[in-house]
Amino acid sequence: MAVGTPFVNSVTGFGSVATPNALGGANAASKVTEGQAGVSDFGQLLTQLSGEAVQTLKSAEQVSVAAIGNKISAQQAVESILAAERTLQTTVAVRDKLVSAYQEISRLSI
Amino acid sequence: MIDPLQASFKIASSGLQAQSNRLRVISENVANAESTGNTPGADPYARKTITFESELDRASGASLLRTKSIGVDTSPFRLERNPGHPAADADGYVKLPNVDPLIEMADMREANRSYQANLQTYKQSRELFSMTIDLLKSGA
Repeated sequence: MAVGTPFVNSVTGFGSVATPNALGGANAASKVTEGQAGVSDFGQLLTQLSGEAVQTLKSAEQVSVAAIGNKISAQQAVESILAAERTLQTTVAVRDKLVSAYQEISRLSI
Repeated sequence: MIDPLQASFKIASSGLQAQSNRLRVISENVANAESTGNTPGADPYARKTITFESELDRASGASLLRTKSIGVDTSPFRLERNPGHPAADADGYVKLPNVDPLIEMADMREANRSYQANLQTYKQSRELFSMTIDLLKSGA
């Protein structure tokens, strides 16, 4: 996810679901679309987030195997595994927040 | 890597690595405190020294610690009279390593403390990092 991309931009997937005219005109919707950098809709954002986490976890796994084989220092192994843990926690926290925001919007009473 | 907390993980880990190297050199010195040569008049094990230097990590802009070099202590060897030893010279003196166990122990304690200090900064950064992330969860 591009740094500085506002969360609101990621939720524009809604723009395609709800009719833009009903939500204050097509102009507002297209403006938001311009601000996007690489992330086109909510689902894609989630995929990207989980993809990065999976990558970090994979490298931690490789490091664990190397540590068991005495190929790297215990300290390096711990460092890499903790880094994976941090990434996972961050990703999960951000994802939970995004999902809850998404649900919040979908529950909006019209 | 711009996040200062992430940078401090890297810095602390470089400190840990350097202190481990230091401990390795110390244990070599202690283990070889009595290693002599095999031929008459041969030099024994020479005490190893380790030096550190600061290194700029361009990715994060942080100053990391790096092992600069592992050198050899050039101070004179101890002499001990032991004519029957294979490394004894014509006068019956054997050269023993210039390792002083007292210095090695003091050095080891220092390496130990430095390692703990670096570990502590790592621990602290980790705690702060996860506390910050936990802010996201509390609202749920």
